[in-house]
Amino acid sequence: MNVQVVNLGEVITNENESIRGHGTFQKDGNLVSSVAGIVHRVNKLVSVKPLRSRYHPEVGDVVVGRITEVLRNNWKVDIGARHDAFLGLSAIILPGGVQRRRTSTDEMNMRNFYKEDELISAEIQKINYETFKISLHTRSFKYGKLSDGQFVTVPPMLIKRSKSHYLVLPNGVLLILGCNGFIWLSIPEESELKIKKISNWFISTTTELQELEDEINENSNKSIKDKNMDLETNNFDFYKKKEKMITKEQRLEICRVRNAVLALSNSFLPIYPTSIMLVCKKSIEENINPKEMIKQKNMIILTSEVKELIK
Amino acid sequence: MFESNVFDVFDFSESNKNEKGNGNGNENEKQKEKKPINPNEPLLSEELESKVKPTLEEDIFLSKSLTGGCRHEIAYPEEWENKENGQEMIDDLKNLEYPKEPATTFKFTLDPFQRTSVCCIERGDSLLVSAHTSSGKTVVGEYAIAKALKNNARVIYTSPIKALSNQKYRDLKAVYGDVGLMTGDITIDPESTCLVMTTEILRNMLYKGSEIIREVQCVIFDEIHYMKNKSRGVVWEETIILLPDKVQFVFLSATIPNCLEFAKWISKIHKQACHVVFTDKRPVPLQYYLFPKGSNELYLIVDEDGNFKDRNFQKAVTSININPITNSLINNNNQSSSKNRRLQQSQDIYRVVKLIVEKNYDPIIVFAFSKKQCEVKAMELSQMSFTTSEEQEMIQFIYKQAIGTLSEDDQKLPQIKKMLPMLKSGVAVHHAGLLPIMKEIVEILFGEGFIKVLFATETFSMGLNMPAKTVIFSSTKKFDGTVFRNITSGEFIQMSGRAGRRGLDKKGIVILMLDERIEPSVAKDILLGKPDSLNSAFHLSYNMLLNLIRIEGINPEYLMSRSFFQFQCERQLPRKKQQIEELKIESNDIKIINESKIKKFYELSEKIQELSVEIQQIRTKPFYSFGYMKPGRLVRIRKIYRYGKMKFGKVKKVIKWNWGVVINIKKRHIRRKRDEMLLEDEKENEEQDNNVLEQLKNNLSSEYIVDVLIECEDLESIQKKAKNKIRKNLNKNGGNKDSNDNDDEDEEDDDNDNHRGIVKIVKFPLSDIYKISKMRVRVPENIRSVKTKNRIIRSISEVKKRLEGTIPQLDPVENYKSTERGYEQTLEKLNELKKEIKQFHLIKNTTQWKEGYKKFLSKIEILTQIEIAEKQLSEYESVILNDKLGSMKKSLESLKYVNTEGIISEKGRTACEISSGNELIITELLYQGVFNDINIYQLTSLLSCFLHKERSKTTPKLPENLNNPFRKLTETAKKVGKIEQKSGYEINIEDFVKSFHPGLMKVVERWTFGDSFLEITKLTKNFEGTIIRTLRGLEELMRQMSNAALSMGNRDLSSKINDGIVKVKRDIVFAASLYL
Repeated sequence: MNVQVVNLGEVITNENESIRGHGTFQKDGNLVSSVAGIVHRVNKLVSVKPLRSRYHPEVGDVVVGRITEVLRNNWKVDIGARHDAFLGLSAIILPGGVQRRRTSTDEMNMRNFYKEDELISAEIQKINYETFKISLHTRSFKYGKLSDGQFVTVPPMLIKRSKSHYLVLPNGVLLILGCNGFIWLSIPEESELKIKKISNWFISTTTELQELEDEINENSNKSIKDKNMDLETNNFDFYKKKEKMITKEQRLEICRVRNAVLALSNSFLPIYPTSIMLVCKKSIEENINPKEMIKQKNMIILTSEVKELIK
Repeated sequence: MFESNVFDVFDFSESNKNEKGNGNGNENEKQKEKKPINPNEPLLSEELESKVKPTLEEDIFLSKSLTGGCRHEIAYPEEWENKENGQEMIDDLKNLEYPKEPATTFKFTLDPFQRTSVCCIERGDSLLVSAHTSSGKTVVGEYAIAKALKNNARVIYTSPIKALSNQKYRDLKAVYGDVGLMTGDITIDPESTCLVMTTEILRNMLYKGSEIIREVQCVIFDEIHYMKNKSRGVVWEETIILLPDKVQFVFLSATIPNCLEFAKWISKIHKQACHVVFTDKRPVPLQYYLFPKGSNELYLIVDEDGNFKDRNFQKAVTSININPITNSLINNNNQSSSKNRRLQQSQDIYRVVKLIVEKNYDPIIVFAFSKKQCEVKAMELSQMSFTTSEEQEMIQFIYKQAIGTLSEDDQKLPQIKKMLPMLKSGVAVHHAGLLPIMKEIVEILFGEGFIKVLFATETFSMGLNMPAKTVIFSSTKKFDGTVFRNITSGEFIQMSGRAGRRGLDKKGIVILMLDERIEPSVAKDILLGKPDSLNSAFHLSYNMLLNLIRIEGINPEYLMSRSFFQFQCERQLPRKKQQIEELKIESNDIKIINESKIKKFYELSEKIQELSVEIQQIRTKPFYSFGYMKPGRLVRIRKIYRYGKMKFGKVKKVIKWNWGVVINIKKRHIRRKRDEMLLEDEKENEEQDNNVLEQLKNNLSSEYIVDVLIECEDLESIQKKAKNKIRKNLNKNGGNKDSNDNDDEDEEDDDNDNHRGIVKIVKFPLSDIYKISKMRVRVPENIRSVKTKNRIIRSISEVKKRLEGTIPQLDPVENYKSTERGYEQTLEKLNELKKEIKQFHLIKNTTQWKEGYKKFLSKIEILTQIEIAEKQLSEYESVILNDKLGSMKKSLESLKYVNTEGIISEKGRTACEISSGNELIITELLYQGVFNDINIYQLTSLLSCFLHKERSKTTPKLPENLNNPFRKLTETAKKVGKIEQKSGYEINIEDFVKSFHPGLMKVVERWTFGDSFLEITKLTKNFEGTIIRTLRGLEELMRQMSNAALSMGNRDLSSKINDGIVKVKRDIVFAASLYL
């Protein structure tokens, strides 16, 4: 594949036929890049995707964000985009899934749902391209408050879009890969997942990779389904803070995944379940402790296999 | 016999109350009609039959004969039975109590079905109400709204038609105040608690995850039986599936037999109980009359108790004098006869209307099945006046008031000016071609009782609460897009439901005008038949797929597996299995002597048939034969009708003609110029590799039309032939040839039959020619006269005589220098088979054999049925439409709307924004920059092609500036069509391309320029209503396009489109509805 990399202000093309897309502007009949990045062409549309930038939201993206302000009937959420996102009071699910209009009492009690500085997961509902207002919603029970876990940020362009961004890894770690580069790691709600020791896998062929992906998907679906069932019965606890017991082993696994993500980010490699698991596996093979994983020399060792895979 | 005594039953004084209309009037009347019932009285009165455990019999009509009562059944999710407290929950469902503090009170006493419905709503359960049009379902909807308002929950009311939404909005606004309206055209107070909207808007909200969805407690679906609509029905299904489980559903439907099935579906997919309240009681009983063509009398054929009067029916039917022209079998109706017929019909209508008006049974709705018919008939009738001078003044006043909202130019529109005199005489028309404002004026005047005779198309029967005393059907036949057919009983019920105004009339009158004799059974089917079942019309669209792919955690399979379609299919399973079992037993029961031999014979003759078709195809490949289709060439035509669409399906019927003479050959539908181009293409292709050539050869066969001068049988000769045949059979002692025996020699026999038919020029596709002779006869230039035609045909027999009976055929190898692989092998094989079949010649004529063969054929029939049923079974068992989904996903992938992992791309996101035109083509055009290169006038006119749905035969000549973009559109459509075809999606590319019709391009361009509506209507023959619909749709589409352009990062285009919206959105086209 031919990749065209351009600098800010560089002429991309002088063909008259091209139409200008994101990251470009027209000057003297030329199409000029307004960012440094890679040129994408779809039919005649030319756009430039920047190598490093703030998050560019798209409708339907799963994001992790932090509440920064409680407003009259919505929350201001930082999702790392150019603009703040807003989560409306009417865009959340009320306890028990009750369907009704929000009252002023609800507005008064907004802090019972989400307070400042809390982390949430949500979906981009709509983007007003005129005013750049980004609206979020928590469409189902799987979105909402995040607690008892660890938060990591990476450049958003490293997050590889996949069918599901709500994942349970084979080592029992819940992974929410926010498309905005905000990643949440925790332990899923109690469920009967088969959790394998990472050392037991040997990923070498693509078929096994496929199997791994399938397993991750299956696990994720199961846990999320369980969560749904759970919440329908105990719905009032949904917005309450739950103290989960997290064992030392689990903490170590979460830590391992976190540092794997950081290692990938350090090498500017795409972050998705398979790449994360490859790094984790490597760390066990090389006998590197989770806390050792983010040493520069270790990071290079750990990500070498992923680099091979991507080539 | 005129049943005048029946008319006398009416209380004449009633009809004077007409002016009161039907709004509040009927409610007051209802109160008078019924004694008030003590609210504490137990609900389950005698009239109401309540059933909790659903019976196996789904069909309400089968399970119990209804005597105007009400029936209540409950469907609940199956899992409840296994739940801990499931049984309690189920038992609790029976617990219906009329609320002590109802959310709203009504001024009148509720009917049993209304009371039951209110109880169900009060419980918070979902509900399907199935009742006749004017029986008062609205009350149920209103109660649901009142209850939701009381709970401070949002409630959404959806209706299938914008006009209906407007009306509903006005009605509800007057009662509840806190009401908003959202249609594609207009949005008013979207923050209101109660929202009236079209189903499409709700569906789009669900896909967009709108916040309103999370606040809605109750959704009312009015006219849910619209879900069976072929093109739009799927929207209802999507909406119902996507709504959250906690929502209370209230469905209002016309009478449908399978309401319990529907309720079970709801309870299954939303895990909640769904009640069914059904009544087939008509508030005003109906009487059905027949008015035979050309007669002066009305015949009562069904009285108000539903008794069919056979004697009257016979009398009515026999009074129709059979017109020899209309009943003849010959197809070529000449113009004058149809004109005569039309004249006669309008006289008939004139007579009926006069009769009814004299008897004071107005207002009348006359249903005609075409817009033109409505207009013409109304014009003719408006010469009579049905109104008093005061009424005329009132009409004029209301009319002037309404028209006053328009600009002066618009007031001069011919349709507006033309209408006033008609309205003043008390006559009006109502159809989709009218300006929306005119439609509303007619509706208002009709509601006020000023219109005495209304000519309407079927659309008027949809939902609008506009009953009349009398309904007349101007014909029993309607054109449904492909053929003229009798109206179905479902359609009849819907339309006749407009007769009889609740509270005003004691009886409603329905008159059916007959213009040809029909069987009593047919008439009974129409008049007394069951209403149409509510069957799923689920299908997939690209917009649906893209929207579902875009959302995390939901996929198209999820939607499909929960569709009503899937549900209905699954329910078919046991029935299908049983059917297969029965068929198998039946086929095993057929015992045949010598079965193996007969089977052999059957297989042989089938094979021969197949091979000879193959040979014919090779011989007549247009690639070869095209050059031989010169005027004068002798050819033979054979048409083979098959069961199903399979190429080698079982042959149903074969018709052969005598030798004919080629007059002309043409490419189908394509103009001369293209034709020549194509020929050149062919020549070029000859040099290219063989594969392409092969394809070309195969594809062309049905595209060419040959005009053949041929001897056709007329009625007389058919009869004569039949007689001959009988005589021949007698002579030969029944030794007639077996039709399966396909020997060439046999056919030559027929040629010698000297029957004289009509010599005509008939068009055949080239593929129907199965023999091409080496001979040509001379064809004079002018062949119009019958004499010359006959002479040419006679010259054929001359040729035959000279060649001693056989006409030599072209040999593919020798004459076309055919390189066709396998031709000679096929021919050889055929001859071998023919030799083989000869061994059966001896036993073939024994009676035992013949009987066996007959039995065998019926066995084969059953076996094919089993095959089909088994195929269906496997389809039902798998997730429906899976293949289609696969091929659609594939084409999305090849067009780069999703990537190889099935994740939506930027292009796919753009396509998601577009829902009111073909999303694929528009997105393709966007990404090709077509919209960037053209100016806004070209842009709007190009977009009109996506919205203009009415087919007209003529394609207007487009000026260059419009033709260019249109050509790009057709090119893109072809490209996309080809990709779809490659992905295995069944699509007729030619039809697909043609679905974008440039008919209104010029009109829309001029409108964008700023021409007045009057000026643009002069440019086209299309109805004003059509133009307005297109322009309104255009504005909606442009708003979506503007968003799509922004999502691409293309600000210039977006602002260009926004400028265009300002140019388009003006004057009469966007004049506010009178209801608002």
